[in-house]
Amino acid sequence: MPLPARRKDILSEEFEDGLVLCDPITEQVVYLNATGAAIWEMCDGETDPGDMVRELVSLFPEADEEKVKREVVAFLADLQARGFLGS
Amino acid sequence: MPFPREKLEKILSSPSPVGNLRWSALEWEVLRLWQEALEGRFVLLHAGAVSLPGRGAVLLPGRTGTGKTTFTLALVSRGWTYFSDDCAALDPDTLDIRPVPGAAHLRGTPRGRGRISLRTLPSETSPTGTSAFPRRRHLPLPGESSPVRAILFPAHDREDLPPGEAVPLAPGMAAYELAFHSMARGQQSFLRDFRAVCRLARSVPAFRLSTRDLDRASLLARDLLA
Repeated sequence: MPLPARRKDILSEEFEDGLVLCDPITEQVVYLNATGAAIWEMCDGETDPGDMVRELVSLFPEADEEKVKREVVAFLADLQARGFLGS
Repeated sequence: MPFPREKLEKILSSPSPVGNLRWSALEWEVLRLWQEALEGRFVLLHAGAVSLPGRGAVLLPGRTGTGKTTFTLALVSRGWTYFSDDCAALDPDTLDIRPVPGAAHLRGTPRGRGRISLRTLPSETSPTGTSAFPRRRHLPLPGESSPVRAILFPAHDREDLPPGEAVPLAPGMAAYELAFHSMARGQQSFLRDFRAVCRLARSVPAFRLSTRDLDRASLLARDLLA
C-alpha cells in the first residue's frame, strides 16, 4: 500500500495557526490546524502512518496514543477523499 | 445570473406606476455588467465594505442572511462611506477596496430605517425585500479607494458570540473563510483571489462580531479603526 503523499500541485499558505491548502483543479480550500499541518508535512511519500503517530506522540506526550492513531487514520482518509493526496 | 431578458424588456416598456420595478431591473443589470467588468481586475468577495474617511475600510464577509447588509447600512447611518453591501471589490496588489455600484438589498425592511436615512423601494429581486439607496453623501467619490484595515465577520444570530466584543479570528482561519467568500469564476481568477485573501488575512486583524446590538457593534467597528 503506497505511503501518504501530498499532491505536488496543491497550493499551501502557512499561517501562525496552521495551513490553508488550495486545490487548483477543484478550487477546494481546506484549513488545517497546527496538528493537521504537522501531519500534512509528513505526507512526503516516505513516512508511514505509524511513524506519524509516533512523531505526534513525541510532540504531545500527554496525548493518548490510541486516540492519536484513530485521528491520524481519519485525517488521512479525509485528505484522500478530498483528493489532496496523490499516488 | 443575468436578469431575465424578457422580464427586463417587459418592465422597461411598461408605463408607470412600475417605476420602482423598472429601476430595480436596471440596477440589477448594471450591477451584473459592472461585476463582469470588475472581475478581471479585482478580487470580488461576497462581503459588505465600508470606510471611515482617513482611517481606512472594513470588510464584512458573510453568507446570505448573516446580517452584512443590515450592519453595512447601520455603519453608513453612523457616518461611514458605503462601498458595497454584498460584493466587495478588492485590489489584489494594494489590498484597497473599490466601490461597487448598486443598491443594498434586504430581505425585509431596514432596522432603524429613520436613522439610516435611505431611500427605500420594494425590491424586484426579492418579493418580500427592500432595495435601499444610500444618499449621495454616503457614497465614495468616483475612483476612490480605501485600504482594508480590518475584517469583521458579522453574525446577528450567533448566541455564542458576546454582544459587546469582537472575537479575534486567527489569520489562517480568516484566510480560509475569505477564500470561501470569493466570487471568482474560472481557475485563474480563483488562484489569484486565493493568494490575495491570504495576503490580506496576514496583513490585517480579523474578528467575529455579533451584530444583534447594532449600536454596540458599530462602536466596536469604529474602535477597531482608531
